[in-house]
Amino acid sequence: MTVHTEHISEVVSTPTVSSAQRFDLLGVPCLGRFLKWRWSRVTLQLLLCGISLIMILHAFFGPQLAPKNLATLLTWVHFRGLVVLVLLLAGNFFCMACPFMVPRMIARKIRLPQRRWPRWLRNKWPAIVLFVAVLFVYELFDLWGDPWWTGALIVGYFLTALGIDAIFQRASFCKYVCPVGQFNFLSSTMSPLEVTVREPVICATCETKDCIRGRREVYDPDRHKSSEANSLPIIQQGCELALFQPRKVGNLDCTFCLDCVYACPHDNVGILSRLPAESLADDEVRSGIGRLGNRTDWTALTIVFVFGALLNAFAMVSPVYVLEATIASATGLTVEWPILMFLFAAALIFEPLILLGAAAFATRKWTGKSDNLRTIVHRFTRCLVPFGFGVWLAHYGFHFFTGVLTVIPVTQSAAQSLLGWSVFGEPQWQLGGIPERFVFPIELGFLGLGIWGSLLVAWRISIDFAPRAAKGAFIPWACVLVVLFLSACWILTQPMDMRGTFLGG
Amino acid sequence: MSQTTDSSLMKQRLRRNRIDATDETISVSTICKRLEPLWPLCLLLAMTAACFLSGCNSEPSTAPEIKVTLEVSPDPPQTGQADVVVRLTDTANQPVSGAKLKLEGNMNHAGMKPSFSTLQEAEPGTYEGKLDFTMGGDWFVIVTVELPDGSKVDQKVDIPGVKAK
Repeated sequence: MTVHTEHISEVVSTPTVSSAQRFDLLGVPCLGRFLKWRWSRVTLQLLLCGISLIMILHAFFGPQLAPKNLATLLTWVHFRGLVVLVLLLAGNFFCMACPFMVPRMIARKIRLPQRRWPRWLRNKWPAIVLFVAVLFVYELFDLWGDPWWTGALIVGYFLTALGIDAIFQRASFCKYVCPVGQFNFLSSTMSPLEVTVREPVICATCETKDCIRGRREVYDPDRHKSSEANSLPIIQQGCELALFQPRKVGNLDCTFCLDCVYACPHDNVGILSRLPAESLADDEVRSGIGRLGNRTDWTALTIVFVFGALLNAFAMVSPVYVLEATIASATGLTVEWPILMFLFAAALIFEPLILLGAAAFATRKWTGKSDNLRTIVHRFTRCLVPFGFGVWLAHYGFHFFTGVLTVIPVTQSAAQSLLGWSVFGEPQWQLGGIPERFVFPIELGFLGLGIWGSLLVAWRISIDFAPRAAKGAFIPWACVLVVLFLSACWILTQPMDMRGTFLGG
Repeated sequence: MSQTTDSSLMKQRLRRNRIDATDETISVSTICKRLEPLWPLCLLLAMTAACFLSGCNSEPSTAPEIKVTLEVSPDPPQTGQADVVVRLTDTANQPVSGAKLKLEGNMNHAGMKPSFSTLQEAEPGTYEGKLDFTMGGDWFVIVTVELPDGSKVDQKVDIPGVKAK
């Protein structure tokens, strides 16, 4: 009873804006009704799964020319571009419609998984390793230009998701393994929408907590045996990512699956508007996550997300040729992978170590705080997320905007070669996208938004960290952000070289 | 009234029970029943696969053996209009004249608009024209040759490292 009372007071005391003042996507005519429909997620997943299957088949049996293959085009141009744009304008709807969940859904209809994800792996390290691995393989094998390997990557993704979720309970793949999911989780901190509670007071009086526990069939003495009373079938599962709605903060780890929406008996969970990036400044305990300031894995993930964005963009411009050639001539290397490993280590380990270490050192010195450098890095690294997202937006947005219409002729061509006649008309190869000169200002705008958001978050964290010396805490991180912003601007102004084969292989 | 309240309390208490995955004994018929709603997806998959596979069973190529040599000027190539010279020779190394040549330039990264060009025969077996390299990076050119007898040959030529100006 004591625990219950404490819990209620905690929930009620949480300062939130009433849902009446916030936009609720579930209240939008038609769209809201569709999303509230229990099978909406499955419908979207099946749709994307169908598209994925077409991509896989085209990857293996279609033309092995990247610009003419649906696998490479949709994966590296349209999917990536749409993901970041939807995250910017709405929320994590791509996780909601994730096609990799369809095989898992089928597998779980046959047999429910019995094992729990190993305790020592209940963190973001597996996903971080995969995130870096995908970035590395992408650069090393020029995946953007290889339909077959792109198809193999998609198949591998399907099999990994199926394998893990067929063995382990709950959403183990999404929470601990999926690199795309982690990318979406971090990016969705910038989204204007979040799945959250409408009225916290209602949660305070809720006794069933179906949003996390799930809803079982109600016991009916006429239909059920008394021995079945404790194991009645689940009719709606609760959050598989262990996010308890009343204590959930922001979008981290939220796949927008809406299980909590369907499970809540009080219809008290919605998709509400909020201030993007606001939750990044909070260091409170988050349901299913804990305190971010204590999570080294989350800090490492953020570093990979931010510095990986710069590395990924840098790898597509002219100067990377010069750098790689310089390293090759200095070391005598004739293969790319060790050179690429060196670049990755420099960008993802040494550069963050120097920049963030120096900023943490300056913060400690100028605020007179006695916290160790690691604690300060944990606390402030989150402020880099908006900027990192801005770089991903600028990069993926470039490919998407300049090539948005190329999907039309490639689809026409695929249909033509598939069916033997021009079912969608002759391929309109003249269709491209927005000219580069118009896309460049958009890219700069994304970067500008990113650094602006990062500076605001850094300031908020500085005020919390050292209320009397906030400027001293803020300036080092602002300097880091300015350095990163200038380097991103420099990358954008370089000729886009679509770096491909290096050293002839 | 009290009976209703008791029943409702019992229901609530039961719903509060912790949820864990339960062991189930599953028969083949149960599996089939559970997968029933997915048959449209299976049908779609089977149809798409059949289409792709039938599309792949094309006749083996009977195109004549033609050697295509492509030169680009400036060398190394740069972004912008480039002069292109294509030389066609047969198996006996004799120039092939009277052919119609079309070029399609593409970047090896998906999502870029291709460049097209038609070449004119300047001397027997030598065809000249221009091609627009719109961006720096690795390109490939598909040379489509239509021979005087109507047969067609497609050849892919890689043009790596087009420099941005």
